[in-house]
Amino acid sequence: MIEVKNVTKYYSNVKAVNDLSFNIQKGEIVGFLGPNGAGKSTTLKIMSGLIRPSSGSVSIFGFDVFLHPIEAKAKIGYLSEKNPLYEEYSVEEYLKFIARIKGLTNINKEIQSVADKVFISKVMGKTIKTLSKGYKQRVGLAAALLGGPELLLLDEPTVGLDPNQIVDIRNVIKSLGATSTILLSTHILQEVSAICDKVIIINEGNLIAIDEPENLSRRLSGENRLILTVKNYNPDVANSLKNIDAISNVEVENDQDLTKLLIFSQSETEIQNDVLSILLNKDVQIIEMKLDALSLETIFQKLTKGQDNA
Amino acid sequence: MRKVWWIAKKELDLYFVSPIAYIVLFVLSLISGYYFYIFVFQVKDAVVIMPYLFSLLASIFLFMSPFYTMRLIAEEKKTGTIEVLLTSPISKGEIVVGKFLGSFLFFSLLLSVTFLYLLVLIIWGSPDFGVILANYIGFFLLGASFISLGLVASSLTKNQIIAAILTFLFLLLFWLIGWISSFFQGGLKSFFNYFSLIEHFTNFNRGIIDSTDLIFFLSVVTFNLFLTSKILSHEE
Repeated sequence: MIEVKNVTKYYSNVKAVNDLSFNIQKGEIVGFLGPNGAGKSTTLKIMSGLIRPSSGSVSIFGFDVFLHPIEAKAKIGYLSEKNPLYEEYSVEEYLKFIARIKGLTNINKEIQSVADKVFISKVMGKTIKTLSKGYKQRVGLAAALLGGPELLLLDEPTVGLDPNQIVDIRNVIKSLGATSTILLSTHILQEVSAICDKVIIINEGNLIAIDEPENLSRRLSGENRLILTVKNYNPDVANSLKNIDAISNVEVENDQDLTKLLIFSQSETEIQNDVLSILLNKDVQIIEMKLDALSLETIFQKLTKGQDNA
Repeated sequence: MRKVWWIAKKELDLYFVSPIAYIVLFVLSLISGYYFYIFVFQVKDAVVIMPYLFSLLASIFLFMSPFYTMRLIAEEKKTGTIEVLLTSPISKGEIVVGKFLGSFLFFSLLLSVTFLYLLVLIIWGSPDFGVILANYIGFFLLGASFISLGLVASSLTKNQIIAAILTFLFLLLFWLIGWISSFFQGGLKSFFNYFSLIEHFTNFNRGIIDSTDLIFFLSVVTFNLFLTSKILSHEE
């Protein structure tokens, strides 16, 4: 298990992280979400042993990062936001160097295996300087993966990549989730919904929420909205709908011959079938129906705005 | 210990991808070659030529060594690659010693230019091998001290030029300390003299291997390497 306990970090007088605590279980892919400057990179740097917290502690599978740095770092693969690389080296030379300072044996086999994972086998002989940003990112990821670390700390792994590269890197990360625990920072919300089991949201150095993406949306909204666009609407329908227990409210908006129905319900119960059978009974023609759970985007805005007001 | 070697090898590799290594080598060959030629034809004594040359090389390296030590840490701070090292399972001590060793190997390579001159002397004259051995030992120690001071300077900044200037100032200070001592008498004089790098090298230059000098140089190097790793830790 990874334990971050009461971590606070000051940069001179500015508090970058404020009394942050959370745990990550083995095998989870966790999204670390927050606006720019929220303290995500600082937290990841502290977890990787790069900077010391002003107070608090971090334990990586039983090893305190600052009391047993060598043992803890051996369990971590860290991809920093800037992805610094020795660009004068070829990809192969670079990975060899990293494998050696990680103290790995069977270096060639290790390198081949990570190169296959991130699809860089074709560029192994090229000087890193000459590679595109997407390939550099993969080389950085490959270096982090060397030695099969139990924990991967990835700081904005898809930033600055083109859409195809983003999809590639995401797929790679998703596949890595099978063998490693991953903490992935991002300010792109789709990224979290696309690959993460759990989300940690921070803002201005404070922990705001920690939960599964679906739970977060449920917890915040408290209710779901079913949105229907129908033809041949008659006012009876609304009354019949309101008789269903789970439905708390129905709003009707008329727009020429089409009518929009907004049906609010408790989130746990499925009401679609009941609603449909009522509409069919009343000969209402259904044009469109969709269930509107809160998107992570909305949740994120709600949470971080709440923070500003407080 | 193996990791120290891999860091050293990386430093050595990276010297030769930049033009600085070749420029330094070229300048050194040019100046030392020219003076060797002058010494051979004017001094005409195989016994004293090498000591003359080494005492000249001491001043040359004083100016040159900042050029090959400035990038050691400053550049890694600038490009951010120091993060790669600091997040790997390797201690700061190993990083610092590895970097020192890489730079020292480069220095040794530069110094190997002098083997050519030695060879010429062996063929045409009869040099004093005892004195020459003392000179080499002393010069390796002097070079190691220069590098260790350069390493400290390089760890203090992200800017290589500032690192080079700082190194030069450090070296000049430890050079001038010997000159300052000439204004004093007794205890104060020997106190200033003790910290003079050149003063300690002078004994080796004369062919004397004294444990005081050995201990002095080794302490300077050890202290500076320790200081550098403390500076790196401080920046956590």
